Amino acid sequence: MAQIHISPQKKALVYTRNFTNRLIHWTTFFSVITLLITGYYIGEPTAVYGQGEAYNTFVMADIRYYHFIAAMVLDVSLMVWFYLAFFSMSHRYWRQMLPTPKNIKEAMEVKKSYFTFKKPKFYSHFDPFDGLLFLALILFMVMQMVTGFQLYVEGLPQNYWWAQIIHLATDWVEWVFGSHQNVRLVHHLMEWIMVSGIIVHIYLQVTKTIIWQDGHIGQMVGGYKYKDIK
Amino acid sequence: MGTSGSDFSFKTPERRMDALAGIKRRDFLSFCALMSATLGLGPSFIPKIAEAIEKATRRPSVIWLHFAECTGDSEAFIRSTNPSIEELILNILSIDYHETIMAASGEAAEGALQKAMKDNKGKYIAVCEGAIPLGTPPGPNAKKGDYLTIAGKTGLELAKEVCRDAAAIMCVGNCASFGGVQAQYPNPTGAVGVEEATGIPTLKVPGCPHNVVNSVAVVVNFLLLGSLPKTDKLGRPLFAYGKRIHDHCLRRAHFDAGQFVEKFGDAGAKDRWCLYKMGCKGPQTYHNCPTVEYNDGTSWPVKAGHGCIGCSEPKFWDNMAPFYERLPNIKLPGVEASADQIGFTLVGAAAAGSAVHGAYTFLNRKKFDPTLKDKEE
Ligand code: HEM
Ligand code: SF4
Repeated sequence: MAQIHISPQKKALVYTRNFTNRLIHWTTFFSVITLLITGYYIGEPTAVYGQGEAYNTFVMADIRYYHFIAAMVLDVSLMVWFYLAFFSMSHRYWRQMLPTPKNIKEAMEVKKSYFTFKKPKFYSHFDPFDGLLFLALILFMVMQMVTGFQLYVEGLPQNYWWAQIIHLATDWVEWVFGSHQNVRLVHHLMEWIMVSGIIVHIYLQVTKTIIWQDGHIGQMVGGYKYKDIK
Repeated sequence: MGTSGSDFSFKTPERRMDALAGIKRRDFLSFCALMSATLGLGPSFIPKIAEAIEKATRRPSVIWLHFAECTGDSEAFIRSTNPSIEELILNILSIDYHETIMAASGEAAEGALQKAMKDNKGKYIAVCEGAIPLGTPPGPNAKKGDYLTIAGKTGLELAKEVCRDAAAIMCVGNCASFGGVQAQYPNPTGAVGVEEATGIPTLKVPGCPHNVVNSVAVVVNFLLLGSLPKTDKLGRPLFAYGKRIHDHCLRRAHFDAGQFVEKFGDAGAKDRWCLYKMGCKGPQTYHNCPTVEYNDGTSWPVKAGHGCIGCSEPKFWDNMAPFYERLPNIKLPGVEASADQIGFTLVGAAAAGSAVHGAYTFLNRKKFDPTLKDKEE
């Protein structure tokens, strides 16, 4: 967090997001966008239909293929994210995301600032309000991962080792939701819940960038963010 | 051809032997080929199956029990259009007790059941058809399970008595396997599948009705290897329930192509496109309908143009409904809505919330934008 440069507006540039952190963010972003679009098509095939003979037309097959590729990318980036949350060398962010009384209290203060427009204290990675929102988004993604794998394993040969690993890891999902159909329903409904979450997330980042003038979005590209100097 | 089905009398085993002798060798071998294909065994097993059936010194004794059901599985079992198969089925099994097709009634029937159980103790196959109601009907003298009473015994008592001494128990149809239609919400009689009611593990051949080829293949497997086939975690034999309908459906090419029937009777339906958007439950249903088909390989729902309704899955009336929608509705207190309606509402709320706060921020821009303040001052 070296202070690099002091601007005329009395702001210091602070290095908040290292390369891995940004890489994970954008991998997750692009895979989730792909999953949302392809998942929507799988759930409700619209607009694009196979033209011509079925033997050499693969619209749905291709879209499912991209869904699965993006799913594997998301799963890996989520796993790296979890690892770094606990074992990162520069910033172990898990404490900031737990709904502890302290975090909730601070999150409420940040929320108040969106209405009073009094700038809250400087948080290096993300503020506690975002922390809780990210916790929700991460849990949504984990939910998609486990329900998605439970759907995925349905189509695999049953005594294939890879299928058996997935069965071991995700069969509890069917037990929790009661049936294959409900697993599918949850996977489908979660698409909309994620879109809502992403709308709120993007809105907040844009708003913050505008009202605090601290380059909040820019930190996800370049890694730097402005901090006011007293 | 030997005798027709109605000529069978269940008291004279000699007649059955005659009937087997009367079946053409060719029909017999094609039956063995069907069995070996269904069991996934390959052509080299055809002679072995033929041998196992011919050499079986005693045909396995079968006690067929009816509980809460519509007799559809018995219908499926005896109503095959190809006489050789029908006769073979009755000839590889010694059906000692079957309420619907046996000639005896009353005490004689009860006697037949007791005799079959005693003579073949620990060796007979119990075939169960129908769910077992566990509820207690209203009324002063009613006791648990009284919704179904046969010869003075409740279904549960009968099932326990017969299943206890069976070498193998096969549940045919969804009712015996998982409870079927009468076990669906609100389940007024408290019906459950045989395994759940008796606590004795059973082999399940669900379907509505089950496919007779599968139940006979289970028996052939039993004759050939002396054991029941390998099952999935629900107890269904893997040779028949190891793959989803969707994985070997004849319309699958159109699914992968992205060609869907949008409405029954449209151009896509005429071209036999995929029924995914018509609520087909093939992607959630394990069954071998696409390869075995029903009624001696005549057809099955998706081939005939109707989506699969998932009749081999537990609680399919509740879980797979609505049959013409892909996904169930979500029931919240007071409202029932589709996942998409709820989803659109959520997304709408998130977007509206952001827009309202955006407008609020814009109106209050002087509070945080120093450049605006400077201009006014
Ligand atoms: C952001 C994350 C994800 C979103 C938004 C998403 C969205 C969707 C949606 C809307 C569907 C259609 C469901 C239906 O109506 O039946 C679907 C299907 C599916 N998804 Fe996902 N998904 C995500 C992640 C995953 C992951 C991580 C996997 C893991 C392998 C996965 C595997 C599947 C499978 C197997 C299907 C069923 C495809 C089929 O039956 O043809 N998804 N997804
Ligand atoms: S008709 Fe049903 S089972 Fe067949 S490919 Fe389409 S969705 Fe799958």
